[in-house]
Amino acid sequence: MAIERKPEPKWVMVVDADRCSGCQACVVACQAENNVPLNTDAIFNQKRAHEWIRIERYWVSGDPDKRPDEVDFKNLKVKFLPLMCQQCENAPCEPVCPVYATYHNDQGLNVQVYNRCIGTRYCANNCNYNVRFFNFWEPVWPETLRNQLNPDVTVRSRGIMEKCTFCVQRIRRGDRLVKRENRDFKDGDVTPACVQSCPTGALAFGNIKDEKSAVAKMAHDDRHYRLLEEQGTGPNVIYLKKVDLHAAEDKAHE
Amino acid sequence: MSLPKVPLAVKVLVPLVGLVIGLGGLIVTVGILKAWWSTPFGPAVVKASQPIQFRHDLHVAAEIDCLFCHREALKGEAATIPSVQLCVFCHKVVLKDSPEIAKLLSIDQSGESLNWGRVHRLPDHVQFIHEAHVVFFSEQNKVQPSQVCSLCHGDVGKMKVAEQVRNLKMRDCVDCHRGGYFNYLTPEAEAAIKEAVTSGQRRAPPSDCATCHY
Repeated sequence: MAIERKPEPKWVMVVDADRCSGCQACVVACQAENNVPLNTDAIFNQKRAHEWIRIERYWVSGDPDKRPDEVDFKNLKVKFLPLMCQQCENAPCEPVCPVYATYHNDQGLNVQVYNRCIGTRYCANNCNYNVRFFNFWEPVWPETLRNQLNPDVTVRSRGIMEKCTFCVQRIRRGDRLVKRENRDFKDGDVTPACVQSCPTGALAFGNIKDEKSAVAKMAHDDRHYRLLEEQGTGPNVIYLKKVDLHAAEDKAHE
Repeated sequence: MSLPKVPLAVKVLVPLVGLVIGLGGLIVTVGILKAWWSTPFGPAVVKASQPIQFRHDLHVAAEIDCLFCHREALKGEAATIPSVQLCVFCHKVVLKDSPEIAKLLSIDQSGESLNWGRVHRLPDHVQFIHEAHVVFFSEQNKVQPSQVCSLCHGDVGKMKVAEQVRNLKMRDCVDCHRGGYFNYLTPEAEAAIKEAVTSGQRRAPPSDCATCHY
């Protein structure tokens, strides 16, 4: 019996580090779309801040013999790296969950089921990328933001682990769109909040099984790499390396 | 050697108290387990107090389509409750002397919000999509979308006060997704779906956690 069913899509994000200007628009968009609790300085200093996507900032000195803090500011280079849940193929967070609250679904997403989670925090401890966040407190929003909450996303209560979902509520909306129009996924059907808000187009999202999609082409770029790939987690976020015109002079990494 | 003499009252009381505690414990345990795994005892009817005594039965008897007021049921997640303006659209003419409608008109005049009591409330960690369910059943059974609503919401056309008729716990949803949905299909539609699912042309209803929980 021939199976004519369309294959499930496999969602992949491509981050072009060369285009990222570190403007944090994705961070704000994510916070608004996904009902991520607000962070204060006190929470941040306790290292308990929630940022489903965050911009990591690296200083690089122009002089290969000196550390970044030893050179003049004008010779400093800065690199930005947007970091979100990598939706690992072989995710370290999954086998350690005692209640199967995190697992892989057939679209390649690393799913966190909030109502199963009992808050052991093993997954966050086992995560290589520090992208899982635990709700140490009941989330509180100021009165002015009450109508801002997204009704399509759960508000996570105290004691629950949470993380980037690749905006699964928008993927579900895309599922219904392609079903209604009876076609395959194409670029633009599903756009996570971070991708939508990026002013420089550093982020791209799509179905990598579709060879015509933008992410499938970008995945074969010469600059592509995956974060901590050597640890065998198989991340589903592909990074494109920042182009540095003076990289030949930089011998620190060779 | 003789056993100490136990008074008759104690001989009767101790087993009686033991029986009561044992039976009580059994009943409570069975009740908790049943409430957790399936339908709680008693009628699973939820009612809410409403600011205006809205009569679903009259509106259905007037042959107003469900989708005329619950406009998003075919387009998105929530079926949505109509705005006051939509009510007033008809009721500035129809029955405007009735006391309940006078309340509605005064709310519209004053510009206050009308806070309907919510009857069907799923927990926050569940996302139910009206569109997917309404479209599936109306397409398969070849009926109007508004004839599908009663599968979950009961016969609203006979309700003076809207109430919840199904318990809408996870068991209720999952039973349907695992094959219970055949009970709501016409025989032809059921045969067609079974054929399509076994031949792989169509997916069975999803049972992935992330279908509803996100």
